Amino acid sequence: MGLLSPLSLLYAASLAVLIAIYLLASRYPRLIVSSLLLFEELPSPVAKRRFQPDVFFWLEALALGTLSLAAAGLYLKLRAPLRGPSHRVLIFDIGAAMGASEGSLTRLELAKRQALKIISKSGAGSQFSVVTYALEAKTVLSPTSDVSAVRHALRSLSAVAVRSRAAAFSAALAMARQADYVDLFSDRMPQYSDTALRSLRGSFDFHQVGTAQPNLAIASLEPGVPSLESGFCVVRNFSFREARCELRIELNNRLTYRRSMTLAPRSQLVVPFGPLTEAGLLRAEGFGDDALSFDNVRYAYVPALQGKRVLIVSSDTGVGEDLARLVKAIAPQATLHTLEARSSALSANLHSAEDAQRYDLVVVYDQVVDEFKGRSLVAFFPRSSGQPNAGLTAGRAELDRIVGEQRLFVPIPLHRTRILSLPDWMRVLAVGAAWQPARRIPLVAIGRRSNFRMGVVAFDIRDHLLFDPDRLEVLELALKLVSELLAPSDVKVVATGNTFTIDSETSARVTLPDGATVKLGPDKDKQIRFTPTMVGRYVIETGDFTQSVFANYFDASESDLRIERRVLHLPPSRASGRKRNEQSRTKPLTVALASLALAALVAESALIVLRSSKNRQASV
Amino acid sequence: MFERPELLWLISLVPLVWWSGWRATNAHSRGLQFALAGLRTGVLVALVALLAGLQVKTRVRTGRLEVVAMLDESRSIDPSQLDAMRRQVLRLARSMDRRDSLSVLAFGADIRVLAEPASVRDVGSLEGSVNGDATDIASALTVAVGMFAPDAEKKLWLLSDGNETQGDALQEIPMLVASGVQVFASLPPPVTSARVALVGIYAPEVVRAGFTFPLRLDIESEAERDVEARLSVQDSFGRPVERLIRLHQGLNRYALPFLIPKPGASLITSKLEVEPHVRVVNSSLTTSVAVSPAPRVLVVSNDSPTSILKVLGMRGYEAASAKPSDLQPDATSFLLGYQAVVLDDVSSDALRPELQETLKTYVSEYGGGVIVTGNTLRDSRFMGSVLESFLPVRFRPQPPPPQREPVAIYLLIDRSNSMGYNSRYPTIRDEERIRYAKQAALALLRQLDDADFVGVIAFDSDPYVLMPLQPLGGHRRALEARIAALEPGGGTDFKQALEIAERQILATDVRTRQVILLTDGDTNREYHDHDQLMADFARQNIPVSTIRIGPDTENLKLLQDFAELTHGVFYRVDDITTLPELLVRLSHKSTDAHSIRHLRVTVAKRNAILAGIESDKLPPVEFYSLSEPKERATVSLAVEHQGGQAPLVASWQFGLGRVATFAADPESVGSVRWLQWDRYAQFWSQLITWTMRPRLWQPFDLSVRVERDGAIQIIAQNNDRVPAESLFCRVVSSKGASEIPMTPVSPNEYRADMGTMAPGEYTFYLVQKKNDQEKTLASLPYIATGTVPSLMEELRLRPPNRQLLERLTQATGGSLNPSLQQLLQHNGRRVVRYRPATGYLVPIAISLMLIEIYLRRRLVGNIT
Repeated sequence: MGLLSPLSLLYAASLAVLIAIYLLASRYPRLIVSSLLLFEELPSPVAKRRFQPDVFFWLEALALGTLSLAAAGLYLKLRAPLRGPSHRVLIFDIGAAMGASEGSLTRLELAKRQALKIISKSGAGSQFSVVTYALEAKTVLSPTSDVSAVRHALRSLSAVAVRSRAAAFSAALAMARQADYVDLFSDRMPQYSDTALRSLRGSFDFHQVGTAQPNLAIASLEPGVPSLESGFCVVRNFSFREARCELRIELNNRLTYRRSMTLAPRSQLVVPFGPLTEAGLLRAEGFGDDALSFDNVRYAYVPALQGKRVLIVSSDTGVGEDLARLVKAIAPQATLHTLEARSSALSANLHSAEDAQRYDLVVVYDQVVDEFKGRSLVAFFPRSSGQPNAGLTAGRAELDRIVGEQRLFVPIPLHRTRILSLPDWMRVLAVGAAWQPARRIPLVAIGRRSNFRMGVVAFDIRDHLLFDPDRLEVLELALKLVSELLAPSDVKVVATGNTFTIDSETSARVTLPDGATVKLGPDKDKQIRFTPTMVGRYVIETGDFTQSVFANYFDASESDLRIERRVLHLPPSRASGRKRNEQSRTKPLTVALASLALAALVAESALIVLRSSKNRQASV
Repeated sequence: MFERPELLWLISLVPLVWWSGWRATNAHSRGLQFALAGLRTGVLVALVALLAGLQVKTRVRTGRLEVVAMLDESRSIDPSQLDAMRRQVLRLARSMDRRDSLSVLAFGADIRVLAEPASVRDVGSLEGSVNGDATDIASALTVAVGMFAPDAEKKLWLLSDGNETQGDALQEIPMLVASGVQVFASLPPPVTSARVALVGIYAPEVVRAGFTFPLRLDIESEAERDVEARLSVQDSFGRPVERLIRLHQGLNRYALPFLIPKPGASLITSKLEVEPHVRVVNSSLTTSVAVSPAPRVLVVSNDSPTSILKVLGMRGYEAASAKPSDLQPDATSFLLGYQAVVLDDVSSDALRPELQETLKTYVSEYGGGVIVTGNTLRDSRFMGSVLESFLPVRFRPQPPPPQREPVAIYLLIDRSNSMGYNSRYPTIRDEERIRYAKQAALALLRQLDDADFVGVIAFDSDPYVLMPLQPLGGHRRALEARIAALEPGGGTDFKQALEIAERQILATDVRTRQVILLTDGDTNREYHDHDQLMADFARQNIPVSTIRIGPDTENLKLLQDFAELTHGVFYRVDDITTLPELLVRLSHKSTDAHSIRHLRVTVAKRNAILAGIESDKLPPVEFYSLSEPKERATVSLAVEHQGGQAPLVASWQFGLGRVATFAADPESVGSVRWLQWDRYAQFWSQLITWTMRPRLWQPFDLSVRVERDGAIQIIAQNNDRVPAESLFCRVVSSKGASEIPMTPVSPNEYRADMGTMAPGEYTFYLVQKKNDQEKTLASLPYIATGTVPSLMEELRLRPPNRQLLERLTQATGGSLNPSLQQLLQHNGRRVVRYRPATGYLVPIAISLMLIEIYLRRRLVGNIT
């Protein structure tokens, strides 16, 4: 036994107060006399009455004493193990597959029901936590024995349109490592490491939910080139049965293509359409016998490039012509202006600083671009300000890797190359090697800062390098760069689960596909980062800019709704060194003491009522 | 809000308690009754709330700091750096407050908990291994966030060089900020000793059996001074190639010429050995290549394209020849059996428009290669034709061929009985000697123009004039027939033949003249019988070149002296197969003496066709076909023309294929310097290699793509453009076979995901199944090495990625290279906590109770 807050024992002074009240009351006794005895003399009690505690005193003293002990945190030390679990963690997979329908419910809802059954069977006083994982692990509810809070937390769970990451599951296990029981609710056993499971102190049970369900998914949507090249849509049937599907494709909210088809079991079909008649937002939706809706819709965007105004500034006529061909290949209807550079400084070649603003894109070759004030710029072989040969490589350079792709088999020799010093807001698209001294250098980069976008290519493109059939990768990179910078920046198509950033110094208001809004503030880099987890349109409004971001979801493993039955139960870890419930525990007696106090109050109340009734009867 | 809400039913006792307070007063004032009842009720409510476990929300400064240290144990971290980082963590552990907690994770490609969150300062020795083949900071951050208790102050200490090879750590920033985690990062200390690492090995996508290809190897060195090293490379056939190299600081890239003799899949292993005092981080790398059989080339010519066929054969090509008349207009499927087609000496009469269309389709839609050379380019009737439309040059009217002075060559051929025997085994009568002599004579004739004077005498004991000395034109065919009809027989006496030749040569006024005497044996005459004749030839400046066939040494001196005295050349032929070449060379000596002007050839643009060919070693040409390059064509070699330049080699991409032209004639004496050039075969090989389709056309091309995590994808490209269904990839290895369906990902591409494959040899077959039948459409041998591409990134000796670490730390409120104090400092973050309301409820209950008791006792009195 002991006291958690011994200082609070000062509340026991209330007993002294109680005694003082009683003594005070006994000094001045009250006598009740008949009004007819007004003129009679009565002997007054001369002798002082001694302190005579009655039953009420003892009841009140009991109440005050127990309350004082409760305040002081009286506790018992127990050695015996408890009957029920002390802490149970419920881990829910909220990845996309858990949103699959199972009749009228979803897999997640089935999981919640299983969890509620477990809760109801748990011993009184058990504590529960709720942890979810998909992209990351999150504690939705900290340990509590409030079952209604647990129910409330479970009700708030919903599946998100992302793939569940193995790292997120590991993080969820880490959050549950001290629990006595860990229950995992998912339709599939995630990837895990044995050490992660062995590090759990308590036991582990995998509760698999769901049955094999059909699913039709739109795996990809390529718009093609308006008026030139057909697009195609890939539809996939994950079911083991044949499936009928109706595919509808809308362009700028107008139905543009519709087709019914039958897909063989576990097959994928490429459906060509178009060419599209105009640019805009493409939306494909599949309708069929399908348990998961996240992957039934897909967006693609074809930027409208007609009417674009592009300026090309070059000191070399051949390079200027090549650049013009490049731009025309991407935007045949763009208005092209070419300017022969008289100076190595771009600012000197333009009539005014505002000149650049008139163009949607300025493409320059071998220029100093420091004071550019336009909206978008692609700089090929840019100079450093000041010395014309600053940053030139002394020897040859080679392109050997396009970021995000496999390394090229044979490095591509380049012409003269400049060593770029890139700001941190630029993203490198291709790297290579330079010599004398030997080092790796960025060769192609792109970036956006506020309303300004820029692409840069470090190597010289003379001698028709862009169109050399032995160096097609160079053309590929140049096309990618110019396409991205010509496209409008107010519409983007991304994949759910991928964070995208917005440059902003002020907060942004984000409207989610379900209509809800959130407010996001910039970080120290003056960037707002956002990870979409729903399919559909997000509208992001900052002070001066509104952007629509369309999020797509498809993941072959999550969209495959077949179930591979798996049973997994792990007993509590013996290696953890801490045996459950075998240490001595402190059990505060607050509840028992408060109960005694309450009982004393109720007893006193009952006595008061009884005696006052008796007195009333007696007086009557 | 309530821990035990089920006890709230006790509030139903309020009426009893209220009533007791009301009745306790017993005819005193209502105010007092209310007060007493209210006070008692208040006490009851407080007690019930206490029993039900009422909790209040408070924001408190968290007193507990939790630090999760993340140790980068990937292969990019040197062991000395890892030791230093571990010591840093242990130092932190010793300095932490007992109330705080520290946990330690190790990460690479996967993650391992080295020390659980603990309040005690014992984190152990931090030993534990992870898969170091990649660096996945993003996943490690996700797991680390799970280690924190919700209400603690959370600091994450990342000890890493920041060079991630998987995942994107910056994507975790929103999660970190939302979780209230501050990220601090510390860079590993610089490495104490210089390191060297073999970081990359690359082979071309398509390698041909028997062809040398450049195998590229990347080696990085941190040593400030040059390091001597030995690089060795070996293929599956066990043939090593070694080279001693000198490594400079930084990246060293080597291109080792390598050759794999047989088609199929081959493993190439590279090993690096350096000086003992230099540490090698990675000394071995392996890659696999698919080696295709020798490329197939078709040479289409009206004539015998011997020199092209010869050089192609020398370079390992499988070359076949055909006449234009052999090709049908719908010859596409026939042409698809070859990777390139050479049109040599094909006239516009022979190459019909339909066939030209077929060739055009072969190039543009099937990716085949076409090289046009020789007299084809001279035929200006091709102007405006289909052929011209896909060549990189336009046909032009040709200037008249340059004239050279005619030469006079008299050939004396021994047709004695001994010429009917084998040159090495004189007892074997197989007519080898006369056969090669006839071939040589015919080869000689082909080198000569119609204007040249030729005379031929066959002799045994007597001379037989096959053709008296006269211009070859008009008599060529007849002479060739007579030469071909020669039969051996008779003795040997060449004196009379020489005399006839002398007379006839002197009767002409040709300046350049030569007599070539070809014999295998002893003459019937004595040495000195020829003295006068020798003197006459010498006096008249008629060189006599003598050629002795066979092992016999009789009259060797006569032949030698004859040649020497007359300023001819003596040859003793051991290998009779070289006899034709010898005669050709002899004829060139003559034609060269007073030939036309040599035109210089220059490099107009260096490209793969000219790789390894020095500009100053290019031979001149005497004669070429004039053409005009088109706008987008690349002229690699140019020749002087009227003060300017004309294309000698031009090329371009046409549709899916490539086309090149070589304006000289490979079979003509006008290109004789080229034929004699020691890089001629290399030049043709590179020209064909650049132009031809990399692989033979098949309806499907199979290729393998290895993802960064080592997962393998099979890609089938549909060249036919006809949609195909029911495609499967059958994977066969020594352990068995399995099938996986190919799924269409675009109109012409199909893929199958194989996941990671165990190292070993496999063959992939693309199979189409229809009803009960199946058809193999393509196959690809493959060797899985087990190496993941991210490992190559991991092995690179790069400086730390400060930019990534700075962004992570700045975005989350941490810092780079923090001091111990910064890590241990409590920043006093506030967290929301729900605490039992006991501390409020008890004093309330006690106070209310005492007030009630006082009022009841003092004012009301005892209830007795």
